[in-house]
Amino acid sequence: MSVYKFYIEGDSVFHRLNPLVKFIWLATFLVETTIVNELLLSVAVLAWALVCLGFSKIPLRKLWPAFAFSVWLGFLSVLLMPLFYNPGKVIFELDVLRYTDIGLNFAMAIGVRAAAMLAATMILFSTTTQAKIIDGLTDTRMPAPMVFGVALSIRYVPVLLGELQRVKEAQISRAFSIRRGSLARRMSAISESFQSLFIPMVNSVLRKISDLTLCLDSKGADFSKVRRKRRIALTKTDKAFMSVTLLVLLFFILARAAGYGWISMME
Amino acid sequence: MLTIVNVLTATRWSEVPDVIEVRNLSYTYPGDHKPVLREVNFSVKRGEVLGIMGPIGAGKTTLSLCLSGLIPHSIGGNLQGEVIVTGLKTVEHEVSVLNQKIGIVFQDPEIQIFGMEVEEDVGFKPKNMEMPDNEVSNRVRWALHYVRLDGFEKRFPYTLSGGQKQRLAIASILSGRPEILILDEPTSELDPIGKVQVFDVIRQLTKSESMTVVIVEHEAEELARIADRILVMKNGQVVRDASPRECFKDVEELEDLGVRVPEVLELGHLLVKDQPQKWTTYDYPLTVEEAQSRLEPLLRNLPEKSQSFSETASEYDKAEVVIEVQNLTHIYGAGSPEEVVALQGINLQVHRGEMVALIGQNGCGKTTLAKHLNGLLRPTEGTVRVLGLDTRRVSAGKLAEKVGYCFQNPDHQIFKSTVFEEVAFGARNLLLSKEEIQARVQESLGTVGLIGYEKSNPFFLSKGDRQRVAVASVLAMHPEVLVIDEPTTGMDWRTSDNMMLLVKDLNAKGHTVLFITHNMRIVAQYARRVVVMHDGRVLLDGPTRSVFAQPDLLGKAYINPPQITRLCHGLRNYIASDRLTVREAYEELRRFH
Repeated sequence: MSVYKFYIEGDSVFHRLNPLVKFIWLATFLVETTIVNELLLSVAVLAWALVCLGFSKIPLRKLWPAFAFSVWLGFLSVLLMPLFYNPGKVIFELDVLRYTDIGLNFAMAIGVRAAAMLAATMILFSTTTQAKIIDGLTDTRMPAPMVFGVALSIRYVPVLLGELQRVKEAQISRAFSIRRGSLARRMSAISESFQSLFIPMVNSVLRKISDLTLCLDSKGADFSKVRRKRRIALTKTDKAFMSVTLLVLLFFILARAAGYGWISMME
Repeated sequence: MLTIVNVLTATRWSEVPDVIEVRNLSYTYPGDHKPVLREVNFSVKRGEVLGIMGPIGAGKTTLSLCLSGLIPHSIGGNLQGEVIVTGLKTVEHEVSVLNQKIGIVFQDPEIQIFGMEVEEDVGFKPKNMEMPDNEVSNRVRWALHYVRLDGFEKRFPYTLSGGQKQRLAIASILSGRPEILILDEPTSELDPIGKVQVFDVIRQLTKSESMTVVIVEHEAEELARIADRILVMKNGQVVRDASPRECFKDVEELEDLGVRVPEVLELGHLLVKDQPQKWTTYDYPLTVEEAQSRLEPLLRNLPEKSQSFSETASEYDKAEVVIEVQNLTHIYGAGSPEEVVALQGINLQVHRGEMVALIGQNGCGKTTLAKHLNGLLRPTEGTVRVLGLDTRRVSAGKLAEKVGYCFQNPDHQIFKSTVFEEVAFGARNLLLSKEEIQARVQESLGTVGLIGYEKSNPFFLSKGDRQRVAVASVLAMHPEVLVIDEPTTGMDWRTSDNMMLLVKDLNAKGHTVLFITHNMRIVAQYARRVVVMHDGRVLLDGPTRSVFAQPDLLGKAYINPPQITRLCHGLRNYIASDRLTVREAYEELRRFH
């Protein structure tokens, strides 16, 4: 059963992986997208993310938000980069804007790296239930109060999303629209739209926090006592996937050490 | 397992020790000057079930928080007097000590469940009590079995139904094995089946575990079944403290206090008051079974059975059709692996001037259907026409002029700093002139009885008044159809009745009204037509009287007709079985004497 908005029911290799392995896998993406800033190897990082997407059997369209954001980020980088960074061979020049081969390579890589990182994050959340995420965090030996805090935040995501939906519907039901009337009216409606969502939500969240505090107190909450002891049990698939993940990471580290994949801004 | 101590079988109440003693308790919230509790005195015996009733703002929840020690330890404020729980003065012991003796279950099941899995949540309290792991597991198993949630151990709590969530909340308190259980309106947000499930658990706890239970509740009929004593509060004081039968005898006085007694007792009160010598043996029954056993001997020698109300075609059938739903199917997440079929092939016509109640258990599709009427949802298949407009082709904003939708919780819409601005919000969105808006706001405030509150801050009004502000802001848009989602949830009887009188008045003024509710007493009293939904389909649709005359079919939708209807149905060999209200049953019975 679906447990929250991002999770997609399935029985792929990725769904079955130990959450700790998935967290390590995600962490390797963080390292890879940090140590690589050149287009070719950034594309390789993205390709690795897409291979994993194949393992996860998540439809590509589900990752569209990540890609849409990355396309915009890449586009903005390309647009603005000549103002800040333009070494190398000039390809196109317009007044103060100098588009160079290295500048464009770097700008496009920003979008691709963002796409890879977001895709990996979305794959993890799409294939891991909330309970498994908490298991994974516990396995990382994160302190119990922090795990509990994350668990509570995730636990109440559906509650708050439901609340936000009700608030939105309540305002729409009163004919609220930012597409009606004169331009001035529309501008004022945009500002009012924030108020109309924000105030009832704050009101609701504050009340829920107050109730939650009472409930925690009434159960004598002491997070140090609710630490969940778990024995980390990795399957053969977990170990194999972990090995491949670490090999991929090693490849990027070696490439970087050999002088590939990095454009130095200091030159 | 808990030791079963059935104290009542061996001793009388007088010999049973007190486990709760409240002496001269007064309490004022931090930053407030007016005390919420004033000189409260009472005690509770071990194994006793104490029901607390009273209107909103009487201090019931505050009293529960005082008993649990959350006041003053977690909330602060000025507490005077003493609360002694199992020999411990609450002001002298931390909540972490008190909560080993006393557990509290709150109104909203959603907020009191922290775990990512059911078993984790149930194990939370014993873990905090530093129990060894095997004892925690034993307690989790026992508590889940007790609330009949075996097999749910690994479920994510958000996926449970309302009744299951509240039972889980009870289990997560029971796992701490408290001597005293406090329940603060545990069923007010639940549908009929959820209520039944929760009361079953409470009943079982009181019978087999002899647990001391303090329960704050508006449901007099359920309290009458389980409580040994009822405490009625008003303005922070205890104004009644007696057994249910004794307590509920003062029908008029209790109704003035906003407490409604069980219908069968109210009927008895009317009959005895009218002809005391003839109805003395009917006396003051609390349950349908009691009432039936007392009435049957009195009705046996009646000359002939009275007639049912004639079932003629609805007076509205010839009126214009304002809502027409044809083969409506709605699927959430259509095409995805998680798709949920919420409505299947719904056909419904509502005529101008009708007052229709939409009933059924949570998740049966009532709200999904209602949201199609103002365009918040669009049909996956089929059509919905409102005043001739196809909702697929008109925006929700445009439909809002025709169909006003009042949400269950007024706080989901209120955001302006004055009542005037809040009520004007909808009318302003229709781009009306200032003069027109001014006139409509005044008219709407007049209709809901809030003239003079224009400059008040809506956040500082009572819940009943905030609900009126929400209704007024919808009325200011002059909709012809009103859809009202659970208008009385969380309200006491007096406030609920006032709200429904307002709805009835709006209907009398020409608005077609469709309201959703779980309160069958309100349905019986106010609706002229009932649509019963079950599993996304219309199970029953007809005049209220004929729908409530089919208890077996209603049972399929987990709906229990009002007490008086069940009583008349039980006496169908002697009297007409289709009486809906106490007044109707009274008129029926007094004819025979």
